[in-house]
Amino acid sequence: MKVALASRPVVSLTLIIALFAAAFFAGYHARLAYGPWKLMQQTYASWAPANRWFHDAGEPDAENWVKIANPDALVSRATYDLSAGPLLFEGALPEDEYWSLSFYDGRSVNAGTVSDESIDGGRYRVILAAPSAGEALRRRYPGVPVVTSDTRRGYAVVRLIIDRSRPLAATAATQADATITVLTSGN
Amino acid sequence: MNALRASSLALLVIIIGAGGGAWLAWKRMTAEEVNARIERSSGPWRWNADDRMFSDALSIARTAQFGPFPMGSSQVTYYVALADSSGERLRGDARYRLHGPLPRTRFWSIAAYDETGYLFENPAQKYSLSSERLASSDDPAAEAVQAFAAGRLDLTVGVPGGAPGTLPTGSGPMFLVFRVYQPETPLFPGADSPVPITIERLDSP
Repeated sequence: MKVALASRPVVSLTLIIALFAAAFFAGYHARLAYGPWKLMQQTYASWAPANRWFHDAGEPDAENWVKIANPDALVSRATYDLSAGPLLFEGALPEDEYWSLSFYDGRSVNAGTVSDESIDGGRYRVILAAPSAGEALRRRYPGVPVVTSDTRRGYAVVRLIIDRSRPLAATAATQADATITVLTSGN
Repeated sequence: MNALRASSLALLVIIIGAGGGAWLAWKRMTAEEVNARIERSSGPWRWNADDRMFSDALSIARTAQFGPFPMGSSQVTYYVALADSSGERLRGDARYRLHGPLPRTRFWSIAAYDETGYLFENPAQKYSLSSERLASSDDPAAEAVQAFAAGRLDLTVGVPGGAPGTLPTGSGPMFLVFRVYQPETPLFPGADSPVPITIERLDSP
C-alpha cells in the first residue's frame, strides 16, 4: 500500500472513524459476552464429565465455601452435552418438599425449569433437546416435559429443599438415583 | 514506511476503540440505571424483575456477573437486604428484629451472609430461618413459633445459639437473603407495600 494516509486526509479520517466505531462495537459486545462465557467455562470445568450428576455431599454450611449458598437446599449439578442426541433426565421426587430441575444454556440463560408441582407420581422424566427436535419429541412423548436448549452444551441444576422433620440422609436418598441418559428409541 | 505508519495507526485505533467499548459495557453493567431497569425495591428489600434478567445481552451479562443461574419468579424470588429499615448498613455484630405478615408461599427462608457472600460460621451450625424450621420446631411456646402459627413473621437475627426464630451471625457488614418458593400472587395480600417485612435494629449502633 503506497498511498500515504496524510495524502488523502478525508478518506483517512473516514477510515479511522469507521475502524474506531467497528472496534468499539466489537469491544462492547465482546465484554458483554465475556462474563457469561467465562461463567460457563468455569462451570464446564467444575462439573466434568458432562451428562453426569454431582450431588452436594451434605447440608450446605459455612465450610462449603460456596458464595451465597442456599442453606436449605441440597443441590445436584451437571453439565450437559447434546452432541449424541436428546437427553433423558430421570429420578425420584421427594414426598412433599420443593424440587426443581433447571437448565441453563451456553450463555447462562435459563432454558427452562420443571418443578415437582407439574409432575404426577413419585418419579420424574424430563427430556432436554435441541430446538429443532423439540416438537417431534413432544408428540412422541406426551406428558413428558421437553425443554429445548439453544446451545449444545449447558448446565443443569436440581434444587431440593431439605425436609427438617426427617434425617438428612432421607432427603439425600432422593438425589441418589437420578440419571442422565441419551434418549434412544428404547427408553 | 508509510504502510508501517498506517498499520500502527490502525492498530492503535482498534485497541482504543475496543478498549473503550469494553469499558462502556462494564460501566453499563454496573450502572444504577441498569440496576433500576432490572431490580425492584420495597423498603430495605431489592429483587430482580423476572422479565428483565435475560431480556438482552446487557441483562444476561449482568445476571451472569451478579446473580448467576436464577430461576423464574414463578419458582423462587430472592429478596436481598443490605440495610435495615432506617437505611443503616446491616452488620453481623448487631441484632435485628424482622417483623411482618407471613408470605403466601410454599416455602420461605432467610439466611445471612458476610459481605463477601459466605454464610457465617457458628457453633450452632444454624444458617437459616425458614417456614420448615418453624413448622417442625419442638418448642411450640417460643415467641417466633407462636407468631408463625398466628400468621406473623417475627424473627431475630444476630443472636448466638439455636433458639427457634433466631439466627446467629458474625462480625462486619452483612446482607440478608429472603427466598420465597412458588409464591402466590399477591405474596402479601392487603399489605401497603410489596414486601412489608421490616428490619429493626434492636441494639444501639
